[in-house]
Amino acid sequence: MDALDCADPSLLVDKRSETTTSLQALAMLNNRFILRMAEHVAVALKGKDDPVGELIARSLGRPVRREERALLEDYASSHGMAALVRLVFNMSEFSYVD
Amino acid sequence: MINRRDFLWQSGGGLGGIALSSLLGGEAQGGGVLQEAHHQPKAKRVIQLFMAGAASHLDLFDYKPELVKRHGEKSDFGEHVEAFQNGLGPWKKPVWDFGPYGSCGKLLGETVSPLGEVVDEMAFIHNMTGKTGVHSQATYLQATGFDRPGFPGMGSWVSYGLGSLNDNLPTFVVLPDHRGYASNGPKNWASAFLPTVHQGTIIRPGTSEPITHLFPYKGAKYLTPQAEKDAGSLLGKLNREYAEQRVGDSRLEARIQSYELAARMQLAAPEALDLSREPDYIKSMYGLSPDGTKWAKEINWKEEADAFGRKCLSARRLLERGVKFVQIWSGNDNGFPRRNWDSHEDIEREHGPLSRGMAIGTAALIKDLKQRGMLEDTVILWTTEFGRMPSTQGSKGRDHNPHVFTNWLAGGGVRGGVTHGESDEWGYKPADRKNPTQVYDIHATILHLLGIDHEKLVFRKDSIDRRLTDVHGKVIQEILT
Repeated sequence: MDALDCADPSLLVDKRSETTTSLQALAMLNNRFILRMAEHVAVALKGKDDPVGELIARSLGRPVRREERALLEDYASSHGMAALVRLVFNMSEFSYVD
Repeated sequence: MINRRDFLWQSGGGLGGIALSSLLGGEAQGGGVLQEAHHQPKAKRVIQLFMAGAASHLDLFDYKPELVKRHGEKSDFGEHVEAFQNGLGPWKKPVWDFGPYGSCGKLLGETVSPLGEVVDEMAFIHNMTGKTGVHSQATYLQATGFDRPGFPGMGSWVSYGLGSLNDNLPTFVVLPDHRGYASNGPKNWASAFLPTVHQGTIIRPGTSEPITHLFPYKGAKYLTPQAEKDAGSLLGKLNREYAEQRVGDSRLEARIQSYELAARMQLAAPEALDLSREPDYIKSMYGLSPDGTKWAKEINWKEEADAFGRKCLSARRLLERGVKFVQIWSGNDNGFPRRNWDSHEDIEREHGPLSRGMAIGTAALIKDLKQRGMLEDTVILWTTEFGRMPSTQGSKGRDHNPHVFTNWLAGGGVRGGVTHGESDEWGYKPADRKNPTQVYDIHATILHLLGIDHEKLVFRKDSIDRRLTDVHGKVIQEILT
């Protein structure tokens, strides 16, 4: 609760503040929950025809683009699917809705 | 063939990011709201030493011969006293003897005599007054300038004003007592209505995870250092492309900069906090004992000196590496056995070890900053939430005294070897009750030394131009050079 800006009930605001701090970035990158969930998603995608495509579709709600597919698949082949899922969880596109 | 985007990214990493953010307009994430100082600053850094639980001015810094003379006699304040608990017993003299130190001849209690070596750098204020004898409100008041939650800590205001662009470490760092938080916990250093980037970052020196989440959760064996590194670059690329397609959404640029700072912190923080790089004579000057020393069960000065000294030495290293505001806490919550300054039962038992440890670490810090040429542009503030009563509570303690307490300052722009504002003959209230010093004056003075006019550093919230000093505060010219 220290890291993510847990809403302060003593503040009266019209709109909750929305900034990312470096502490939040660290939490999103390294927190146990994120890393465990990334593993679970990787396991769920195992054996699928197009794991990267499905990962992007499920996380970002759109088809994977050609150029990014190459980058993501390259990363996954070097470091594994769980590490890739962690990366996707940290994409701005994952956190923000257009 | 390299495109403009990649050129900016590769040619400077963060530099490219900054150029983009200034093009996007508005205050860059982490940039100070002040384009330039209001006037020539004397200092660029602050250390705040907060004694949690209410340190007794009478036993440390504010010598009252009247209490020595009348020790044991029935106390009589000449007026009705609303005690916090029941601390209206006989007059209680200071537990320890006082002696003169420095060229200025300032009288210091024996347990804080290590500060004697640096007392000529210090300006004392013995007529601080508060509004409340309740720990949480009083701690808020000294930490944020308001006696209720919802307001930013002084460090957050300094970060908001001066900014933190391009640093490798957070601008505002908090070193809590290792045994736990003081009253109000992290709300004392919250950013409240200021942008969240200005909140204090908790650092716990000497622990395996000095900044929470600095390193990945160890159980995730799939994440190798190379995987982390490659993720950083790829993520940066993807997030930058995403932001460029959405010009005008400053949150996205802010997010990129946070990740960049996080990456820089992962490199910079371990080095900054690695005290093994310090020579032994420095570590012992700060009162550190060898790593892994086993401590006695009872509160003792060696353990307090080690804990406080570690924080002071870490603070010096952090300030050298660009941190602008370090807040060090001494004393924790109200658990038992008591390890805080709230000595209702026995002043000697806790104030002894805590004050000796604090004095050793603080004296070392001042000496060390001075020998590195950093004291002249670093302001140090020693504060607490209120004082303690000149009358006894129980047989050996002192009750809360919100009416008067002591602060002292040292460093950049502060006139050393002076005392401004006296307390009355018992140390019960300010001597001149109409002209006490308040936290607003302390805050105005510190902002002034940083080149900031406290009336001009504002944030509009709910139609009020909020500031650290509310609608009060006068720079204390008498303690400035």
